[in-house]
Amino acid sequence: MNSCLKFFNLLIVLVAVNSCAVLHKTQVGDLNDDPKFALRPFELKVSETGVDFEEAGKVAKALSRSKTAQKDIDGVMGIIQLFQQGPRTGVPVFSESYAQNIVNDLYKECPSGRVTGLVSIREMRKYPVISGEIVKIKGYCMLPRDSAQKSNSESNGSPKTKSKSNSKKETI
Amino acid sequence: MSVKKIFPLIVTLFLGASCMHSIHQVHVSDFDPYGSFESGKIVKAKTEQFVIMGFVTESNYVDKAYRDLQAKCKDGRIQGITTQYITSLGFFSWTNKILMQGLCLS
Amino acid sequence: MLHRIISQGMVVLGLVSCVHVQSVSLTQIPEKRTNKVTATTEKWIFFAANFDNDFVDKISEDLREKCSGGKVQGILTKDEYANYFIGLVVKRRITASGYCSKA
Repeated sequence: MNSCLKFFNLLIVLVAVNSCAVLHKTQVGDLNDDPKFALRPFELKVSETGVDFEEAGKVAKALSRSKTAQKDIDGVMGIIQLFQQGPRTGVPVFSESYAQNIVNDLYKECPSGRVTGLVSIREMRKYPVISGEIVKIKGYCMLPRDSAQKSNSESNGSPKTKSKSNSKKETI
Repeated sequence: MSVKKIFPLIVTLFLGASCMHSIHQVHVSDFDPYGSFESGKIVKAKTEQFVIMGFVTESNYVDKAYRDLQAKCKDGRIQGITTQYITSLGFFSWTNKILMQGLCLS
Repeated sequence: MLHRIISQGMVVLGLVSCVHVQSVSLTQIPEKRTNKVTATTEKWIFFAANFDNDFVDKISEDLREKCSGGKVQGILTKDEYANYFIGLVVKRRITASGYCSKA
């Protein structure tokens, strides 16, 4: 019972300490606050689940009891590391094309092409062993004042957020 | 060693040794002067550089992507350009990739 | 003999740089692309001792000088670094190239 409680406490601490947000890169573009246009904010978010095999190996080693199993885990992790050489930002993911359609999504948000105040953010939500590798684009769609007032009265003017997850695990 | 014990290790090995990627950045340019989506077409340019153990002396693949993108829109302007810098990790090697996409308005 | 080959090989490896791209960005490309202007700024960093990044400020000034009275568009900004001597000496280089249009 005591060991169960200890393990549970350790798990809570691990999750609490490890689930954090990491900002990798951010870029800010021009902002055009023309009085003839109303700025409707939007946010596009695409993400993919990353798997940290090194951390997975450490957790597996900590949980395994036999030294043979720990040696095997070390061997497998060593081989995996040989196959994951290269510069990396955040944790590697299995798909490279999760941010490919962001241009199309931008124009779906704002078909007129009047986009301003763009901020592009590359960030990571870190959890034990897995992480969410996120690409977020925030900006404003410039709407002519008359049509902006009409759309505000219809939809209460709340900012639109679209997020796409290419993996079910991202919902953690 | 029993199959039950070795199976998770084999699965982990197959998953870890498969191709993994890392997106370093996604940059979006400005949209001024503005052009609607219907009045243009999306153009893309993608170039790669294969690197073995980090031994590479140039980064011309970036300039090539720049030239390729312009070649796809010779008589027009390109706005809303997204630039993605990706690395596909591999066995003692990796592939750097640049993907540039934008709306060509002629 | 083997000793010499190894030491010479290490010297050659040390002199050869390993170039890596840190970031890339591109602004909107104009219709007229006749006058290309390029500005480059670099800094040598020895033993990871870097106390400021003021060398970056020079690049927009250089571009402005090369296209005074005009507009520079379609700017490709490439931030790269070259490692020498297994990373003990690093050259940080920023290149910005674009098209100058004057009214």
